[in-house]
Amino acid sequence: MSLLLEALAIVAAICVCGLLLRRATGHWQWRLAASAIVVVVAGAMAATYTVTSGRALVRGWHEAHALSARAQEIRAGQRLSVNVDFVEWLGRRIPRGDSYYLVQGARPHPSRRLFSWATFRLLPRFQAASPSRARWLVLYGTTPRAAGARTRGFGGWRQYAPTLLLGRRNGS
Amino acid sequence: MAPELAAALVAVVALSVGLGVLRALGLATTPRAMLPAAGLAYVTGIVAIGLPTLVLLAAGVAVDLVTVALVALAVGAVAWGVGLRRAPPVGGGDAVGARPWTRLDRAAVVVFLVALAAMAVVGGMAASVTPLSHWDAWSIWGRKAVVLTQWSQLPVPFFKHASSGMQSPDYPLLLPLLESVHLRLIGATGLRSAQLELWLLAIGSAGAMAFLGALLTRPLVWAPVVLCTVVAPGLYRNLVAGYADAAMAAFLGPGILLLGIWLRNPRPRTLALATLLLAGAASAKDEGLFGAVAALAVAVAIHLARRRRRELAQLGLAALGLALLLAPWRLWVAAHGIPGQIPVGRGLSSGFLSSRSDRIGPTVGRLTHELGNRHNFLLLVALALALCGLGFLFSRVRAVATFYLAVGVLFFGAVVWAICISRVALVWQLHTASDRVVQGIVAVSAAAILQLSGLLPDAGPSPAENGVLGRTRLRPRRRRVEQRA
Repeated sequence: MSLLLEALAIVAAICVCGLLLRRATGHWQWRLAASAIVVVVAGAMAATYTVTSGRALVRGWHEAHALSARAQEIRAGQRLSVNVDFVEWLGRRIPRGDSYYLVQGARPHPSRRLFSWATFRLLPRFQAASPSRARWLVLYGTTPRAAGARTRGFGGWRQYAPTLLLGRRNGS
Repeated sequence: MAPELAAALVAVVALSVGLGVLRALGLATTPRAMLPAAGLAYVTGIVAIGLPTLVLLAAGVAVDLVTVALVALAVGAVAWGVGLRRAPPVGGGDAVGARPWTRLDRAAVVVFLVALAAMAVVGGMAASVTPLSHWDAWSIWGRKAVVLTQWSQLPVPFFKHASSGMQSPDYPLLLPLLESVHLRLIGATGLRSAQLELWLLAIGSAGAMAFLGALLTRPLVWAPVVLCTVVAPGLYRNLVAGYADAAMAAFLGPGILLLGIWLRNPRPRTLALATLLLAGAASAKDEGLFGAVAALAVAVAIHLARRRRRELAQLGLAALGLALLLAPWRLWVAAHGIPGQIPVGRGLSSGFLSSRSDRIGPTVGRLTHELGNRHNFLLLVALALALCGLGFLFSRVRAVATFYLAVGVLFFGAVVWAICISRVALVWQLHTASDRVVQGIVAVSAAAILQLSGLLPDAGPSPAENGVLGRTRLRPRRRRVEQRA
């Protein structure tokens, strides 16, 4: 509705401008009238927002500039409340190109956020479709015992925290 | 390599190739004409290098920095080879551009250039350090950019299996490819500073719109309109955040404007460049495909109504070119059974559509609300609607006004359709994406303002005498004039 009203207001302004120009010159000068309104509206908007948008960009730069390169890269994960340090820790231990499978504990409930962030940050390592096809098993919020059958075939557990572990397929 | 140097290197290469393409098409042939055409050359160069590289990628060829350099060299060599043989033609576009500039016009150009340069610098600074913290930015676009950086060929399992975490795997790859070139140049595997390339696209697009706008209207008119396309919060935030919508609009705006210019002055080279840029938009995001198809379909409809065979033949070739440029990626997606987010097949069945009809009202309401949000899009859509409405009153402007209005409406309809048939919950989708998916309409609006404001009649007869209100009203007045004579 606001879009329609705005458009109608602009048409009305062009018509009024056209009428004034016709009185002054004796001719309909539609291009001049329309151009004048475009210049006024777009000019006012451009002038205002060049300043405000420019300031906002400078402010954004100031805020982001202070962050380290690593902090910039993991900001999204932190905003999702993912344990980003654990994911980075995994990235240092799983060789590039290897496959892994992420098992999430019931508490907190399995999260799409964690899945998306981990699969993104661990590139070029790739998440296998099932634990049986993976070379590494990542436990997030669970233990080998609680994860049950899914940990079968994995051992050599490395612990980052009590419920944050990385296991390797036996014999690989 | 430092991110700024990498972006500068990409810009120089794209500019060189783009200037060659413009010269080959006879659109900027002299050194004096090339400087103002730099923005258009930059976006053209990105598309001219990016699309053949994507074809190679879809064909299974390993793509790394050397491959991209070879593609740029090949395209540039062919373009410059053709361009240098071409005799310098007369300048393009409508005749308004030939008008001498007044002091106000000169002042407008100076203010525009200063403001654009300032925005380019501060926006570039912000884009090079802003973290990718919005979901789609890193999960869809960033992930694809990292995949293209880590692998030289398309890893099918990543695109095919949901377990890989790849979201919307069927989305086109032009922007991730551009970002991956940047990441390879700076030697990073993370996503730092990749948005710098998107920001430069927006600045290049503004330059392109200014160059084309100068052919259609006075600097006092085009300068603020083009500046609005850079400083509009809805657009610059999208770019700095690493989304693809505004970057897609950076190709769509000049492409649609070129097609609008072609409608008035149907020269094949204008249509060829329009088709290239529309293909760029379609390769950047699915909404770009909507815009490209809508623009060509409306142009065909207008020329069918006019019964102009020659123009229809040109449009047929343009449609064929567009299909050929877009086919490789779509064929690769189909050949590997990559699932899409939008269930297109089901979305065309009347039963499914009627089951989703309750989503239409809220979607239309929310999208029109976004388009009318003057704090986001600075009244550009309202201005375009007003000029289109006024354009219908004049016979010489009617076709162009119809073109822009119909393209905008079709684009809007396609977005509403895509949202309605999407598997994602409506509330979530409208909440997170409604201000993004309409950005193509803002680009179409900017193009419409630039062309229509220069087309309306000046110092002429009243609207009625100009074919405004239909022939029935014209006849008595004409008769009276004739009787007086």
